[in-house]
Amino acid sequence: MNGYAALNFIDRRLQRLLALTLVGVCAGAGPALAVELFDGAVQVHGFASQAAIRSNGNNNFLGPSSQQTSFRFTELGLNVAARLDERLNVAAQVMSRSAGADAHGALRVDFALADLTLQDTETLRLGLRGGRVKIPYGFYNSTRDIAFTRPGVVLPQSIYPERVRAFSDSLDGVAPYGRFSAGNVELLFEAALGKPRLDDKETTATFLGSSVRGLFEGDRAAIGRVMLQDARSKWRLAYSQAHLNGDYRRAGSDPLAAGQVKLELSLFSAELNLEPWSFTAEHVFGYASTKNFGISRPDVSVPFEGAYLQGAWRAGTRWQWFLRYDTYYQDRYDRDGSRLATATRLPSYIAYAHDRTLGVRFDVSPAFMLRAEFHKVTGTGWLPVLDNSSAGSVPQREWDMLMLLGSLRF
Amino acid sequence: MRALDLSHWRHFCLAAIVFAATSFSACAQNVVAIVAASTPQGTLTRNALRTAFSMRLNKWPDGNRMTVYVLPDYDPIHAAFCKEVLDVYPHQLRLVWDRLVFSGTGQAPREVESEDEMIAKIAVTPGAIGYVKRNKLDERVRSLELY
Repeated sequence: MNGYAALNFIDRRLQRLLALTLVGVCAGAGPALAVELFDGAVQVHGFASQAAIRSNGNNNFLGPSSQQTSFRFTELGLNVAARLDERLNVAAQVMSRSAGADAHGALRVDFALADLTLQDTETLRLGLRGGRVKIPYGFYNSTRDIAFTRPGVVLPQSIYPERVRAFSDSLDGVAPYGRFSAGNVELLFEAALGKPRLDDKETTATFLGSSVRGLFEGDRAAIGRVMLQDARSKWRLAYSQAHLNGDYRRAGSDPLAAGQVKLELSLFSAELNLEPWSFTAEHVFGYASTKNFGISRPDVSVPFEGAYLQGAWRAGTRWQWFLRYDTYYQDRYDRDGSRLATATRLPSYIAYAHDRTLGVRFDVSPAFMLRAEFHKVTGTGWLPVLDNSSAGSVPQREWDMLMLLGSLRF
Repeated sequence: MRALDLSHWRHFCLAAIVFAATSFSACAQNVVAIVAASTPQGTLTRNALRTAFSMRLNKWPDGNRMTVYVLPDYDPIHAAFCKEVLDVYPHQLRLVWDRLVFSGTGQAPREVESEDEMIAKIAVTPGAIGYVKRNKLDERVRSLELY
């Protein structure tokens, strides 16, 4: 067993242990959605989700889903949060995530932070977090791996793509935050500055192709989000801006030079809750750039764009239905991919994706939820690279996908 | 001619009035925010109360730490408190808490199983806040004045 395989083996054992712990704690916790220690000063929460995915057209999404039902989408997590005194909190979460060809469920620290509240009154709250913090981006990014907080089995891929997820994971640094309240309206801001974690094979492959051996390494990042919202959750509006930089770490006899990767984006988010109806829309545009990779790979800066519109209907306390239209363009000046096709001889439909989704959620209990959704997709713009890298099975332009998910939390 | 005996009717009318009175109090706004009877904190604005139950305000105006207690999500008293006092839906409040808990940016309120447990916890926890039906109030807790 070589080093990597040994690591994989240990990861699998740890993943199984985490899964067993989560199921055990869920069973032991009873109906309460937390485990409390030290008279409530310490809270322990966790989640476990498993999906089943089937698709057609040679188009694999999170595992070999076009050949068989893929179960390679598992999310497990356990977190602890403690109130140390009036102003200081600490929190940490460990996670195991398997998603498709790359992720094999390695246990990792998702966040581990200290949170100092400097000011906390009815009208103003200011504070500073430090350590490993989640990236505050859009409505869903900071809890993107927790199925209970997502509007579907997977998030809209135009805004929260699986294939570059390393860019939106977490970073090591500082995160100032604030809340200003005036009547029913709250203005929230959150920023994160530091070193992102980009060492993910799928993310590297998305930028450089599936055959590269090296990996990206996070350099520095600055992300900020301001949100204006109704304190009664009737509406919210947000603007997020992100700048993320990484360096390429070469491996062995790598034909590529040690270049740099950069992602810059602006995101607008809006939500309106008119019980039992709920409408959400987000729109992103930005640049994905690579440079200094040597003569075989000229410097590029691609202007991408994505947006979705979703309508959800809550039928009683347990059922929720939604319809979503999600659209993505790899290059907003080449929306039909014709320029890409001419330049590379690749199919033009890899440059975009239009995804129509119908989904349903059923809450069996506050702690257990089931989801099902059907995607009808045109284009392969956000299909993961590594799931679809086998020669001879070219992903098709028109394809469908059925996803089921069960999720447990406490 | 024998006088009409109205004594049954008197009883019936009395019973009807009592019934009407109790059912009226049952549908009026009768879930109230509570604090310990001994606590110095007596008032909050409705907005501050909502921010506190959204776990985005963790301190009393006097600087003491706030500890928030709630009943389970599907409890009708929880639903009544959310809708009538806070003007939010229980599922939205749960989503607000989940976003805090699973991003490391806050804690969820502490959950109790019954109004009796709620009162017992609030009576002995400094800075505690919760809610019960008005007719559950006893000498250990008092209703929080909202302005």
